[in-house]
Amino acid sequence: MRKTLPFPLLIIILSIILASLMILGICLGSVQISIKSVIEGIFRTPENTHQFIIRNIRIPRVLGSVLCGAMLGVCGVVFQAVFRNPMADPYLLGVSSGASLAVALGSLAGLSMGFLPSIPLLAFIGAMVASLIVMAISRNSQRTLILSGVALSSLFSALTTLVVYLHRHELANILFWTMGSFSAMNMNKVTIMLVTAIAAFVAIGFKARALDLLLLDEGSARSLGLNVEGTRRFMLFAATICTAGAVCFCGVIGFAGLLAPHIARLLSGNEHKRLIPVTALTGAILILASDTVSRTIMGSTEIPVGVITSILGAPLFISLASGRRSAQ
Amino acid sequence: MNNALTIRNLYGGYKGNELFQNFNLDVPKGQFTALVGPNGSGKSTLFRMILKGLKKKSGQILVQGNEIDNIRQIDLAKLVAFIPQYYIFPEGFSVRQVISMSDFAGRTCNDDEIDSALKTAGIEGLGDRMANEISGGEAQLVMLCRAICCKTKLILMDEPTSNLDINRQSQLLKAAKKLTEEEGKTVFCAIHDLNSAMNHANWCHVLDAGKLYASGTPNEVFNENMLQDVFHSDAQIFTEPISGRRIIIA
Repeated sequence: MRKTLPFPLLIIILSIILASLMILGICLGSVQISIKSVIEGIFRTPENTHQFIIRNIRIPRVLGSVLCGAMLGVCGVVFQAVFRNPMADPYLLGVSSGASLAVALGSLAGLSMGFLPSIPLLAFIGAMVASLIVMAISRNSQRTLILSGVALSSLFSALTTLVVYLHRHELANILFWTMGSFSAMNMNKVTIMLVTAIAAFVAIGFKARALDLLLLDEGSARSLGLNVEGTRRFMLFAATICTAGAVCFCGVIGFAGLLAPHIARLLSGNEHKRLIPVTALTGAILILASDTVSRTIMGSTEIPVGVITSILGAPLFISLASGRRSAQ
Repeated sequence: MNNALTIRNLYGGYKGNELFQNFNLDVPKGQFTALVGPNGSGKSTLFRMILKGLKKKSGQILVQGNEIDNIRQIDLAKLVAFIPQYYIFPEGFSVRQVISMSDFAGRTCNDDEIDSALKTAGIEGLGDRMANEISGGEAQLVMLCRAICCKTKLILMDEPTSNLDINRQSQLLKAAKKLTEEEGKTVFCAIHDLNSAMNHANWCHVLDAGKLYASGTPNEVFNENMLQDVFHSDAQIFTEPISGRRIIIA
C-alpha cells in the first residue's frame, strides 16, 4: 500500500502553506505592502491607503480565491464519486458554464442589478439545469459522459460569450466570467460564498462514507445499506449548490475541480473522510496561488486566473484521458 | 421461526419478463443452502429482489422475519450481507479499507475484526495490499471478509466460485461452511458448480425458470431426472468408492 503522511500532520502542513500564501497574497500586487502593514491592516481600523487596500481589496480577494478553490475542489471530488469517473469536474461537465450563462442572461434581463442574493440564485438555477442534463446523459451513456459534458460546457460558454458580446456595453463588468477573476470581490460576496461553502461542506462531509460506497458497484453499495439513487441525487444537489456559489462571483475557472482532488489523492489516499478536507485545502492553495500569480506575473496587468489553472489542468486531463484508454 | 429467509406468493421480475409467479421458498437458519439452476433461471433476479435492487410486484419476502418493504435499505443491511457476482473495488483503496466499508450501516469495523475475518478466509497478510491489484480469487475471499464484517446472521452469495481455481473454490466454500457451523450464520448461495453444491450444502433449492423444481438435502434433489428436466443434460451421478462422495459427470 502506498504510504501517505499521517492525516493530522498533512492537515497542519497544508494549513501552514495556505496561511503563508494568504499573507503573501495580501502583500503582493500592483502596490507592494509590507507584512507589518498587513498585520496592522487586519487588526486596526483603516487609517491610510495601504490599510484601505488591505481591508477592501486584498483580503476579500484572497478569501474569495481560497473559498472558490476549496469549493471547486470539493465539488470535483463529489462529481467524481457520483459519476464514478475520475475526470468529472464542474467545469468539464458544463455545470460551471451553466451557472455563468444563467447569470449573464439574468444580468441582461436586469434581474441581478442591485440585489446581491439574486446572482447566486441565478447561478444555482443554471448549474442545476446543467447537472440535470449531465445526470440524464450519464444514465444512458457513462462512457461518453465527459465528452458530452465538454460539449455542453462549450455550448454554454459560447452562449455566454454571445450574450456578453452582443451587450458588451451593459455587461462590460461581467466579461470576467469567460475565464474567471477575483477582481470584483468584496466582503458581502465573500460572506455569501462562506455560508454556501459551510452548508455544502457539512452536508457532504457528514456523508463521506456514502461517497466511498458510491464508488462500488450498485449491488455491493445497496447491500451495505446505501440508498444509491437517493445519495447520488443528494450529492449532486449539494455539489451543484457549491459550484454555483463558487462560480457566481468568480466566473468559470477551468480544471480546479480536477487538479485539486488529484493532488489530494496522492497526498491522502482515496477515502473520502480524508480526501474531502485535504482537497479543500489543496484547492484553496491552488487557486490562491494561481490568482496571486495571475495578478503579479505581468506587472500591473492582470491575466484571468482561469488561464493559469487551464495551463496546469489541461496536461493532467490529457494524461488521465490517455491513462484511461491504455487501462481499457 | 426457523427460517432466515421466507418468500411467500412472490410475483415479480424484470419488466416484460416477470419470471416469478406465485413463488415460495424457505432458507433454514444456520445452514449452508445452495440455489442451483441453469442460466436465466432467476437466481440473480431473486437476489436483487431480496436486496430491494429490483422492486417486487407483490408477495412477501421476509428476512429474519422482517418484510423488506417495511424496512429501509440501511436496516436491511443489518440483517443480510451480500456478495454479488460482479463487483468493483475502487481505485486507491486497500483491502482493509474495502472491508471497512461494512461500517456504513451504523456498525463498527475495527482492525481486529478485519484481521479475524482475513484469518477466517485464509488470506492473512493481504490487508495492506491495494484492493484492485489482487487476484480474482483473493478478491472473492476479500468479499467474504466484508460479508463477515457486516456481522449479519444471513449472507447471500451470487456465484462466488465462478471465476476461481479449484483450490480457491474449496477454500471459499469451506470458509463459508465454517461460518454456518461455528458461528450459526446462514449462507444462501447461488452456485453453478453442481459438484460443489452437492458436497458443501446442507440444503438445496433447484430453480427452473422462476419456479422451484425441488428442495431438499443434496442427496434428495440431485438425481439424473433432475439434471435431465432442469439442465437438459444427460449427465450421470457416480459415487466415489473411497470417500462415498457423489460426483456429477457430464
